Amino acid sequence: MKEAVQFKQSTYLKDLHENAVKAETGVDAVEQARATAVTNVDAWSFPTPRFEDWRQTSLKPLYQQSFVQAAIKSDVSSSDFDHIRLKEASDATIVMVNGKFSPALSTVGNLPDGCYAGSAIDAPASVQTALAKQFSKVARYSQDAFTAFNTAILPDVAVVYVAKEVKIDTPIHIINITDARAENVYSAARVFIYGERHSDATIVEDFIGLGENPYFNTAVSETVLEDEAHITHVKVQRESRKAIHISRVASLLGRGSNYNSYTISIGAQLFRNEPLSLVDAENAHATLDGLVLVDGNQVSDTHSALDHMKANCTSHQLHKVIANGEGQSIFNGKIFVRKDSQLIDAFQENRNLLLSENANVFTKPQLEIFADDVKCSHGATIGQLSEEELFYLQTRGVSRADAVQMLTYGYALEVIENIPVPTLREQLSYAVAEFTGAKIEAQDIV
Amino acid sequence: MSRLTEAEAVETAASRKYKYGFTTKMEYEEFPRGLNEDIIREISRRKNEPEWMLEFRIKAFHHWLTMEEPDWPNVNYQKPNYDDIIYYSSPKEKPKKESLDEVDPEILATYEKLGIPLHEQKMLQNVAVDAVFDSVSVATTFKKKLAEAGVIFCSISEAIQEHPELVKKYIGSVIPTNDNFFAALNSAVFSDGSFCFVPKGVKCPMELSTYFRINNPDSGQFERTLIIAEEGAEVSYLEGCTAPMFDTNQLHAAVVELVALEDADIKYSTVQNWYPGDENGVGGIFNFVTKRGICKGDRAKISWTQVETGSAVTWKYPSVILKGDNSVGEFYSVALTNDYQQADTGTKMIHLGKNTRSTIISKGISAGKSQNSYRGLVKIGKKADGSRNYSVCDSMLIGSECGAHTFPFIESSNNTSSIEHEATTSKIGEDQIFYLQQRGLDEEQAISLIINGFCKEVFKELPLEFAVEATKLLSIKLEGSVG
Repeated sequence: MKEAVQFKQSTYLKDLHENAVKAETGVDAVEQARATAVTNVDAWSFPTPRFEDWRQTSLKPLYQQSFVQAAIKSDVSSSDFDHIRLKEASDATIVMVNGKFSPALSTVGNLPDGCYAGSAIDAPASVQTALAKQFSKVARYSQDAFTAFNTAILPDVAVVYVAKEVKIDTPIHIINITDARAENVYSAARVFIYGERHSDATIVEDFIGLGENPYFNTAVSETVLEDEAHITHVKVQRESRKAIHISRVASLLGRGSNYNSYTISIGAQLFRNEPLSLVDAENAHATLDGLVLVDGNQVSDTHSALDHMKANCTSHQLHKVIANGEGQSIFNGKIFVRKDSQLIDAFQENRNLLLSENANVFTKPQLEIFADDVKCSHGATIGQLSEEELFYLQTRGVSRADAVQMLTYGYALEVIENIPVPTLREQLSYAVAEFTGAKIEAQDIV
Repeated sequence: MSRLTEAEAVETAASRKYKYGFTTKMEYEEFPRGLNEDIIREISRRKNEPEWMLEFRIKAFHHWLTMEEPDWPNVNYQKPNYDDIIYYSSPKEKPKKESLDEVDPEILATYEKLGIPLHEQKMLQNVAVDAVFDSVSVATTFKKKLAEAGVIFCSISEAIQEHPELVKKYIGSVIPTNDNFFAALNSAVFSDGSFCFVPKGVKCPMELSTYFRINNPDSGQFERTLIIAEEGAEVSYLEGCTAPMFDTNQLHAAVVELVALEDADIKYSTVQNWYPGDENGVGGIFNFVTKRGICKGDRAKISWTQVETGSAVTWKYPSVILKGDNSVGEFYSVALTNDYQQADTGTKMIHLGKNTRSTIISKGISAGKSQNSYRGLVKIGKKADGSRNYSVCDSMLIGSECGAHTFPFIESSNNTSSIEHEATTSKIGEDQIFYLQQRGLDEEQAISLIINGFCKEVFKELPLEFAVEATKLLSIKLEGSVG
């Protein structure tokens, strides 16, 4: 067994990386990106609270612990994740264990011609071309040690490729499992989604952890939409309560494309997510919705960026937070409208529900606009449930406690109800009900 | 419509070139350039300050040496060379005067050109004017009337001599010497400024105002203002700025501290129209101001109103610390930038007491190639039960080369409080302009009317004469930038 060492904060990722077993996928695009990333991990320092984007979030839980690289071989069995399986995706479930594709656990049936779901290593030539063109170019984070770290150590890449003019009716489910049953581990999950022209697909990316040990997961996903492509990307973070999950969800939008992203954050001790949408063509639409549930000592941090680089686009962002216990939520939503990106309609809404005395919410909606003929607005609120609504329910014979649960449950559903996968909506409804303590029945599920 | 006709008259009369660009020739007793402990001792000696004041300055200076000029604001500028600034200047002749006849006629003529004849204001406006010419007060009027009411209103140097116990108690109590780079610099070298003390239960009988003016090329101006309202006292303070046209950038790092005790009410209004540089962004004032008030007692109220139209670079966040229970903080702001101006301004509302309330209304207008940012903080502490904040920040863009940015920081650790924040960015509706043109207004009049409507919520908070001035200012500033 490898020995876990205590590292210095400033060189934490570098030291982790130096002690890692060198991974190799044999895929040219991936290995080229890795070569650059390795030098970047060395050069870019570990973020400290002095970095503006990390001022609110302490990475102490990470650098005060030590982790060893997760083993590629693992005895994860189907029963370990049966509870999160999606009925709709029974034919298209990709299972990644500690970042590595597991052919035995995955079930990928017959996809339409030209489409592909699986590991980058076995991918056909068309997919390799797409990887060569865009892999690691969408997640454009400058000076970001975590993305570099992910790229440097990733053992494999889960790929979903949707061919031209194909609509895949059933969702594709990517299950990322981190096996922390034996020791404190770290792993890197990587996903690459590519939609050709006029394609249409829904991808659910799921994160769970096994075992009681703390673990550190860096996840990066990249989605490329060619012209007129429609991609729905759902990220469900239901890691164990001891996990540290630091992730990037990047997307690049082509002309007339439609990208809908939903991020649901339920688990992890420390969750940091950075959605980045590059709207680099006209007439595109991006949705970046999020739901965050924190209690106990959980910290959930979302730093999103929506970059309108071309004119005539629309975007919509709804980020909802429920903070209970000593939970802490941080939100920084940036919307950029570049010079000459006229006729942009961008809307951002951040709503925070503070349920307990010790919970804490920080929010920083941010608009940066360099074009004049635009319509951009944001709204942010931090508050409680409405006394009138509670009173109304009480007059109808509902106890106050039940009324609180009912209203909190309803508040959370606004994000979930747009997810186009019924089984997932059901699972999430139950998760929200469990969080809020609401008693729900089948007819309450959206 | 009366406002518009007024604006109209001004528009036709004034070209949009900065109309206050002139200097008054005066003799200065100049200091060597640069800053060291000896300079500070000399400033303190010339002003005949007590030992504790010198210590305050020296302490601030040592803090300043360890600090770095902040680079987080969303502005770009050539940082001033702090070794090339003259830290103290004052007109040579400065005996205290009871009446205006004793004032140097050249200084009076300067005010005349600025449109603020002292005697006229004295007669018509019933306002006491404490005029800061460069760094030292030269004329104070209505002092006697204020004295009868028990209000102390004088220059801060005078206050240090005559009311040392009050100054010592409050100076640096809201903005500590090590608060930030510019506040530390100011604390070390401040030359003069205003001091106002309103005793318990007194409602200040008139509105107080000070006109600041930079007149000496290369001399930084470091005002220090301290306003204290005791229990139940009320005061409204107005401040307006204009400065002559120079090509070298001038630094202005003022500090304003407000202290409101129980049930006190302080209203602080600013109209800022300093030289913004020419159309190519050459020259202009750097306005790096630290303003903060504290509602120390229960039910205290502090209200900031500002109309910012000048300066090449503005860095200013008038803030309120809501310490007393049920205290109220308000911030109303219009920030207009044109040509190459840059403004990073906003407020901080720190809720510490129970049932504290704050309102933020911020209107940003950017035209030309300017950049306008709103940066604000609303923080509700753990013990601030039942507190509320309501913020609106709207931006308007005129032309495709400018930028508008909002950086609101919102934080709450209390589950009985609520915060609402909304922000919008848009351009002037073409249909609105079309409608007004159709009613016989030309395009500039139409835009002027719309802008005034956009800013109305803020203007209505200004005292009447300032509201008129502010309306005129916006029209002059925007002239020629549209269409």
